[in-house]
Amino acid sequence: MTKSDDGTQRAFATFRVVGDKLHPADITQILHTVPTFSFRKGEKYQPGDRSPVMAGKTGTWFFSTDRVVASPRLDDHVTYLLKMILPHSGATDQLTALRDLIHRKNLKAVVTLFWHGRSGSRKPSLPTTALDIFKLLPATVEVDFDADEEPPRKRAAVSSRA
Amino acid sequence: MKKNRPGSSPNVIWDKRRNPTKHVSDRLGIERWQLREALHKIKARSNLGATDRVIIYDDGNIADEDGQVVGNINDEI
Repeated sequence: MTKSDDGTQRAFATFRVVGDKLHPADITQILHTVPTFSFRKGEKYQPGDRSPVMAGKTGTWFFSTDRVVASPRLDDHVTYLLKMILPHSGATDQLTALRDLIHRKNLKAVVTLFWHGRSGSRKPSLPTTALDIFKLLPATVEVDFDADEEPPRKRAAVSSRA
Repeated sequence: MKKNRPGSSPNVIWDKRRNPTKHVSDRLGIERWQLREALHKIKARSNLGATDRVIIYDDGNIADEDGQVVGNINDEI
């Protein structure tokens, strides 16, 4: 369920770690999470039946919450990602291990936030506290919010005076 | 979704940097939120930024600025 009364039609978040020296299994092992997609640089992969077989331009470990978090609230999706790197308050082992790997192998981490709403609905506020923790990796945060276009207004009838 | 005739080349229906319009999702026979969701996931997985320009074809293929196909909308919905 992703639609809600506040006008949200879809919300989810993604997290990826990329780099030429990335061995995706290292991230899987640190986060204890199976990625949505992963490949090493130069490795052949096919995202789906209608997509061509491609070679990874760079090593990629990619996770999307859309298939695992059934909520229209963006906060819930970000919280899920946050628990991957910080499972409990004060349990910083995964965060530290990930940060060290990113530094050692010159990798890049990116969090993306997706939201789409009905025309005129209010965009969600950013969960800044959670996002600040990702910045410790460091990870960059990309925001992709948009709503349906306004339906065309009916033109007012033009009255003519005889 | 509109099908190309066998042997014909797919047509470009969007090549701008901003989010595609409803006209584009209509051409693909899907809702605009479905198009944006699929596009977001394809870009993120391909290490492209949300504002990076991509080319959308009427067969659902998505190519980056170099013209390399990075995914297909229909695999994501």
